[in-house]
Amino acid sequence: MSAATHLPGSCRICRVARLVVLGAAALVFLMPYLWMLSTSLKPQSEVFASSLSLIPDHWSFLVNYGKALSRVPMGRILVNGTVVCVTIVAFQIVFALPAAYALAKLKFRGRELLFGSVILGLLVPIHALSIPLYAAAKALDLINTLAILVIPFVLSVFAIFQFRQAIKSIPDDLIQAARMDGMSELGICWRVVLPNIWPAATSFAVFSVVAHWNDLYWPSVVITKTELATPPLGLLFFRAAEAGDDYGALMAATVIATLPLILLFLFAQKAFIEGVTSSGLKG
Amino acid sequence: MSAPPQISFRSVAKRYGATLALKSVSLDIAQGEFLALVGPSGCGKSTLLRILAGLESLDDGRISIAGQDVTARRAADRDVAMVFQSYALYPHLTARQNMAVPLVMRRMNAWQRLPFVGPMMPGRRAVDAKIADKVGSVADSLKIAALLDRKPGQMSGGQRQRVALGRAIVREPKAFLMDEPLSNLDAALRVHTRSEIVDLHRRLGATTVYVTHDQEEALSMADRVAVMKEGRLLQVATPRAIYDDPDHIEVAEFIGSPKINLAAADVGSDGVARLGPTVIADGLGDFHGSVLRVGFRPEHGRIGPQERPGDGEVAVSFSLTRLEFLGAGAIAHGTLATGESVELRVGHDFVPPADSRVFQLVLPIRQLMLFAPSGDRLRTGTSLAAPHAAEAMHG
Ligand SMILES: Nc1ncnc2c1ncn2[C@@H]1O[C@H](COP(=O)(O)OP(=O)(O)OP(=O)(O)O)[C@@H](O)[C@H]1O
Ligand SMILES: [Mg+2]
Repeated sequence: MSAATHLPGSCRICRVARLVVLGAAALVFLMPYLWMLSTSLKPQSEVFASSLSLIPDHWSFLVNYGKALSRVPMGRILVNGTVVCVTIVAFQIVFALPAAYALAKLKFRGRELLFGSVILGLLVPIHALSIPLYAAAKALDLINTLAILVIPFVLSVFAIFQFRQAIKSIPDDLIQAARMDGMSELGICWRVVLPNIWPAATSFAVFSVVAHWNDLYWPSVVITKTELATPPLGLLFFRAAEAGDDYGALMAATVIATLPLILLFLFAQKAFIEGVTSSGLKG
Repeated sequence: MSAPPQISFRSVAKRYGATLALKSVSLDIAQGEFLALVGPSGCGKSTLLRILAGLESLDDGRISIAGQDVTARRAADRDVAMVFQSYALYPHLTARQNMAVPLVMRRMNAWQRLPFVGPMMPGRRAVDAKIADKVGSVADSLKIAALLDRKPGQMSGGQRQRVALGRAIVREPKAFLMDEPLSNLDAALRVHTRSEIVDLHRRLGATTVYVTHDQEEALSMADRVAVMKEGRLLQVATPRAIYDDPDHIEVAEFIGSPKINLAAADVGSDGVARLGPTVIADGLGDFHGSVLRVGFRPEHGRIGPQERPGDGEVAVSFSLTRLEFLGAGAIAHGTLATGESVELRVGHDFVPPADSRVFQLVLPIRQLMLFAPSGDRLRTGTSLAAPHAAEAMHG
């Protein structure tokens, strides 16, 4: 913090107090993660030791992480998670963007009704649909494939809703200028609309990746093979089959499963803020 | 007009729900002409322009551009360029990229436009070079070469307006359509840019339809002015004819600042219209008993304590209420003996005497315009009122 960023009238003590409070709150929220990290570094004997300590007496990094990486195909599981999440997000944006554009900017009969049904779609949870979806997947012989982890989610009503709200704020003139410049409606979607709702698209992508990376419910319904598992399901298999109550190894696996998300978050946060500041819709 | 029109509207009608935005508009615009479309807010100017651009559908009528019926064509295929009041530049692209967009869309095929792989497509480099040349030369002519790498958010309103003009010019379209392109600029820049657009039009010779609600802009820029009111064309004529010889009282009122002065004139049983005691028109038997309106421009009267009407002039009493000094001249606000308030342009030297606020206002009868109760201009039978008629008689 440089002196220039201080709000006028804030005293030194207030500043320190604010920092302490915020720091403490941050620590509370970080605690589970720190504990996870700490446990992943401890030998089995220390995990249940009565003395609470974040720093292990004996480091068993290699043992725990070695188990996590060797007993289940962790690399494969991370790749599964990445493939599934990236495919889902890509399809969601490809399908939602034109739909949201049409709902926001094109005039056609039944538009409001259609948008109403989109809103209605927001209210339906995946759990309500899982039995028919499972039956369909079974009938199509898609159980235990990565495809079935993707297919039910390629159409996101939430994305349509969020993009429509963002597209509404794009001036009509801009869309019409694009038409005069010779773009087709789909061209407008990709060349004009997407760059101008980039912050909304980024935040949706982060939301979607986090949700599907962490999803345990649907994978546990349709996947029974370890090599097709996504990270949370992989953890479950790891715990059930191999690790038992080896919490050090389990936490090591958990750290590995969460790490990509944390990295993505840090990266996307930067892109997100750049998106907000550089492409604000002026004039 | 002998040459076929570049743009032609045939009985174009447009309805928004219950409102009729355009009521059977027919208009021909010649190749190379600069036509200004003026009218009060909400009269349908933008609607007409957007229908011409293909951005809005029409309910009735036909439109042709360069002899081809384009009624059913989409905007991209009409080959006209539009300049928007809000500039409508792509916020995520630099000025250079903004200006290149219409060329990229027209000169490259779909493969060459693809991201990442497009630049590797055959022929792409040659097209790129041509586009860069064109953008560069247009930017030079608009004096925006230094701005080419900025995004719209980093430019002032005037600079954005130039880039928007540039984006329209690079295409060499069949016609330029401009919807109040100057109204977001400050007064000084507006006047400056106005003359730049006129120069540009002279240089390119492209047909231009220019929408504005500023009558001064219309008079000063256009070859012809079309005055609209409530979805109808009231009059289409040269700026001079619109100002000196309006067809309708609404046109007379809308054009000119300060506004035209209007006074009531009774028509007697003899078919003669009088302003006060003076006969200003005859042969108006049809209007016996109704009140006509007499219009005169603020610069057409003389006032002074000693003024006396000469031949072909009429005098009415005028009481001065306020003198508004404007520098080069002044505007005298006051009321006529008949009660109407009027504004008159007077010279810089006009100083009202301290003892008297009542003057004789002397008006040349041939400068008076007579309007029927319906608002239509009365020329027939008004042997004295129409300037042309009067001139013809004198000559
Ligand atoms: N999209 C629309 N939906 C409904 N009514 C509209 C729409 N666009 C225009 N109108 C109506 O059509 C009429 C003409 O509008 P238009 O925009 O052409 O006016 P204008 O002459 O350009 O006015 P201004 O000088 O304020 O821009 C107005 O009564 C307006 O309310
Ligand atoms: Mg308008």
